[in-house]
This record gives sequence, C-alpha cells and structure tokens, in this order.
Amino acid sequence: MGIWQVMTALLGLYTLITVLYFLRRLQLTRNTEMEPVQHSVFSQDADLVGTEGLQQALTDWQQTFDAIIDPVLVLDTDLVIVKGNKAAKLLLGHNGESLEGKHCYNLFSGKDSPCSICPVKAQARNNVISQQDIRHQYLGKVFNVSCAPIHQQGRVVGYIHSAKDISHQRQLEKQLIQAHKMDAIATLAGGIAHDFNNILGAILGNADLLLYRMPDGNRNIASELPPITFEEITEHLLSIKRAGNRAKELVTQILAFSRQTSNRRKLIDIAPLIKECCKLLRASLPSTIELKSSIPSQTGNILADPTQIQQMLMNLCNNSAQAMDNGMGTIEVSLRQTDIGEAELKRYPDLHIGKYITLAVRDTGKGIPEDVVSRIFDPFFTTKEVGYGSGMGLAVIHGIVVAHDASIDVQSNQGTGSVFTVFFPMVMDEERQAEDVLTSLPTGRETILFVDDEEEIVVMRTRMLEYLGYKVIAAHSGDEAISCFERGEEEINVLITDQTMPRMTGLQLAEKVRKRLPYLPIILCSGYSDAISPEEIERIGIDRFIAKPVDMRQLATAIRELLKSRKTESL
Amino acid sequence: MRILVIDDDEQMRTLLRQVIEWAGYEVFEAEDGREGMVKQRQQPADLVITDLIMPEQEGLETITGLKKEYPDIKIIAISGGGRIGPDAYLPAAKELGADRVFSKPFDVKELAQTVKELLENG
Repeated sequence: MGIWQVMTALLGLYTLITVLYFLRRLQLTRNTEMEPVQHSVFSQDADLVGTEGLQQALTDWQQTFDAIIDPVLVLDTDLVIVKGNKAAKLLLGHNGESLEGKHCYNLFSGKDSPCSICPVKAQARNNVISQQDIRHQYLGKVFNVSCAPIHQQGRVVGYIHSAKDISHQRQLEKQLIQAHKMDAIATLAGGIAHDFNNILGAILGNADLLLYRMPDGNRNIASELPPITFEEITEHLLSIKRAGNRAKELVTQILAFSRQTSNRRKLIDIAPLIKECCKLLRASLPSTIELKSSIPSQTGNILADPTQIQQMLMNLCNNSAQAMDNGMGTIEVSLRQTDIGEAELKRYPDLHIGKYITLAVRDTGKGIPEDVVSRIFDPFFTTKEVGYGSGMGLAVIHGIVVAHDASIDVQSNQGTGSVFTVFFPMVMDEERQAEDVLTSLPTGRETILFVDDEEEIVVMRTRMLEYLGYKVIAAHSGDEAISCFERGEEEINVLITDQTMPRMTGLQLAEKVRKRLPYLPIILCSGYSDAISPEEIERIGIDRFIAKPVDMRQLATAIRELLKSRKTESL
Repeated sequence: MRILVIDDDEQMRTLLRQVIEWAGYEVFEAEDGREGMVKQRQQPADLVITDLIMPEQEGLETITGLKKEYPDIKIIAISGGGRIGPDAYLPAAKELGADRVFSKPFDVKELAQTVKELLENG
C-alpha cells in the first residue's frame, strides 16, 4: 500500500492524458484540413505518436505541474511525498535533496508526527476538501494548506496537498486590526480632551484658589471674607490629588488601549466602568445622536479586562452611530443583572444556568437585514461604503466577548434599529479596594538615595520622603549617585532612581550599583513602562518598578516592604 | 445674590462653588440641565454657570430654556470641548444668550471677577 498505489494512480493519470492527447491530435489533424495552423499547449509537433507521444504527455504534465506558482505535493496516505512541483522543491528542498519519500509534516513543521491541525486528518474525518493555516518552521511564513483526496476505484490512495503563502495577507489583517484600534482612539480623543480639561480645570483652579487665598496679604475678591482655614487648604490639596489620580488613570487607560497585547483579566465592578465610558462617549459622539444610559450604581462583579470592555462598548456605540440615518437618532446603553434559567436557555443556548450581567446597546438606526445578521461578526464584513469603517469593529467585539467567556446576542428589525446584548458571567466574590486614606502611611528612619535629573521632582520627592521620616540624599545624575556610593560617607539603605536621565539611565545605574551591592533595595521609576521589559528588570536585579506619576502610598509601601524583606534575609 | 452651578463633573462643581464663595456669593448646585431647571424654578438664581456637555439635558438646551423663562438672567457657559474641538460649543452658547463663555481649564480669578461684574454692573 502507499507509494506503489499512488504511482499506479499517477500512471493511470498519464494514460488518461495520453488518450486525451491523441483525441486532441486527431481533432487537430481534422481541423488542419480546414484551418492552416492550430497550436496545442501540450505539443508543438503534430507528428508525435506512440511511446514518443506518451513521453511528450509526461513532459507536458510535468511542465504544467511545475508551472503552478503555489507549492503542490502529491502525498500517499501515510503523508509521504510522492511528487512535488518546482515551487514545492524551492520552498521545502534543502541543498538540492529530493522531496520524494519524506513526510510533509517533517518538511513543513519540523515535526516527527502529523501536525495537530493537519488538513488531511480533517479531510479523512469529514470527507470534504479541507484547508488549514500552517506556519512554516524556518521561513516564519504562514501557508493556507488545502488537501484534496485522490480516489481510485472508490478508495482514497493519496492526496493533492497545495500550500498558498498568506503571510502578507496575515500581516495586513494585523495592521488593519491595529488601524481599527487607532480609529477608535481617534474617536475617543474628543471625549478624552473633554475629560482632561475637567481634570486640568480642577488642578489649576484649586492651585490658583489656594495661592490667591494664602495668608500673605488679603487677596480675597470679597475683602470681608475670613482668611483661609487649615481645613480649606486640606480640601484644596485633596482636590488636586484626586484630579491628579484621575489623570493618571486616564493615561493608563489610553496606554493600555493602544498596546497590541491584551491585559490580564481581573475582578471588577462593571457599573462605574460603563458609566465612565458613557461620559467619554457623550463627548465624542456627534451632538445629533442622543446617548441615554441606564446604569444602576451596583450590578455586580465580572472577571474582565477593563480596557477591552471599554473598547467593546466604544465599538458597539460607534457601530450604532454609523447605522443612523443622516447621523440622527438615539443610542441607549443599559446594564443589569439577569438570571438565566431553563426558559432563557431556549433562547440563548450558549449560556449556562446562573447569574449574568448584561450590557445592552440599543439604537434607532437602519437595522440589519436578516440575511446579513449571521455574518456581521466575520472579520472585514461591512455594509458600509468605502471610507466608512474597516468592517473590523464587530469582529473585534466578538473576539473580546469570547475572551471574556461571555456571549453576544443581536436582535434587529430593519427600519427600527438593533439591540446588541452581551452576557457576562457574574462573579459572586467581591473584592473591595481599601480606601486611600492619607493617614497611616508606612514610615521609616533609614537613608535613601534619590536620583532624578529634574530638580522639581527631586525637591518634591525629598520633601515627601523626609515627611515619612527618612533621611534623603539627592542626586541629579547617575554619575553623582555613583559618587555618593564611592564616597561612602553614609550608609545608603535604599536607592530610588528615575529611568530617563541623560548620559546614564536608571537601568545602567542600577546595573553598576547591583554589581557592588547585591542586597541594596533598588526601586526604578519610569513614565514609559513599555520601554523596559520585565526580563531586563529581573536580569539587572531591580527590586521594584513603579510607573510614573509615582503614588506616595505606593512608594512608601514599597520602601517598607523591601527594607523589611532585606532585614529578614539578613537574619 | 444667588448663583446656580450646573455641571456633571463633581470636582468641577466643587471648584466652582469654592470660587463663587470666595467671590462672596451663595451657591446651589445641579448635576445636569434638567435638575438645574427644576432648582431654578424652585428658587430662582440671579446668575447661572453651566457646563455644555452633560447627560440628560445638555448646556445649549439649558441656556435656551433659561433665557425663555427668565429673560433677564445672567449666564456664564463653561466647556471642556468635545468631538469637534475645545471651543466648538462656546460660540453657539453665546449666540443662544450666554453673557460670557469660558474654556476649561479657566482662570479662577477671572471667573470670580466676571461673576462680580455681571451681578453688580449688569
């Protein structure tokens, strides 16, 4: 069984071609009587017959086989290569070695057994021509491999295995997904600008008010007002801090959104997230579209990546906005808890009995035709005109839904609008974050070397660390920091360094210090977390990485934890 | 003299309250245009400071409603912008009857002085 049967099949094929060839020659000879010249792709010479004809047919067949631009292999039932065309030899051949007799999986994927996604297996199972995307082990290219059976007397005796290089298409798909993300960011920009101006307004307004009202000279607009009190000063400062934290969260969200990789899922209370997202949407959607929301203050927790949930809602609402006739209509966002029982399972067979949190986006747009509903989540499927969206929005939404073990339902009526409902499994355990209270920050009396090239930051952090009880030595560059260690005038217990500094980065400084002081706690602060990999941090031996803007509590806690762990180690 | 502050951003409302109290006036607050109209009808203010992009009832609609029911009322419109740029809505607010307009972030002293000027000099 195997190679001989395939060879027999090929010989049969050759015979058939030869017969066809002779029939064709016969036809040509007849036609020649009526027409002076006719050419066959299989022959230039009208006198070939018998063995010579068979040989010519074989040559014709081989030439045709080699002319196919995609790599094509003839396999036996054990996936051994019987024959490969020129493109296959170019792609899979090593040093002119013959492909014949080798296993396709060995050449394609470098494996000793068939690929887990082998199209031949799928073909044998379903008895249809099967296709799979397989990545080539060395070339880093992705091929769409199709497999069609060769039948002989009702039995499968081998396979035609053809591979099409789709690497470029894959790359374009990736770029399009990223471009779609950037589209969504552009849509968000208006909303973010609105939110940021509120934040800036709060920071600058409170700082100004504080400065105007400080006791050095009565600068009150209404001179009869009493001077500013300690409580009022505290209130202004807390307002500035709250606004700063909001800005920090916003920046984190934008950065997370623009990254290609997804964040990890965590337990979140979804209601505030959706409310926040609606605020951004309200400012970014055209004013001709009314955005209504029905979001109770508490619906429950889900396991989710907040950034992806926001992206999903943004995409759903953008999709709804684009479905509006003349850009006018209403979008309604609602969130609620839903109990799924036996009755609901009949309508939503993908769900399980239990509690879900449902997020629904209803619009008064054109609606989706019935024959299109089943295809709307396919990548690049779009009913929009060119330039009105890539057709990736709903595919991205579907990807997010699947990644969250959620389910999406679409109800649509042409002319009256659509409702997209996402069902998230509800998580019963609740985690509550401790309130950020200014008091009871961990303190200490050790010596800290603080390094940053920006004078304002050095002054501010020195004050902050001294307030916590530490003795602070300030340095404005890596070289200055090294000198502090070399002088050895004082024992330094912790090094806190900024990353982005001229001449010597925080990482370079940490690497030098770590070589001399293997147990010194080192904290690295940076505003560009993407530029430093966790592997690099681990390799150099940095104990803690803190993203800027640095939170006072986070830094105070990190210092204490590191000093405590060092003391335990030394015991 | 009483001033009504309408803004959906709590921090912004607090700041506006502090600025107005600093200027020496009494303040009451509303979270959106609809609530603002209800409060105005209950106890009319002499001057209204309103944000423009808000849920339920936005600022431009609120300004139109206020001017219709209280033609002499003084209005200051404040906006952090939106989809079409930071100052896109402010000219429209002025056209609909706002006496002064401010972009966020604004200078608190300038706002306090504008409030005084509008209330004392008309």
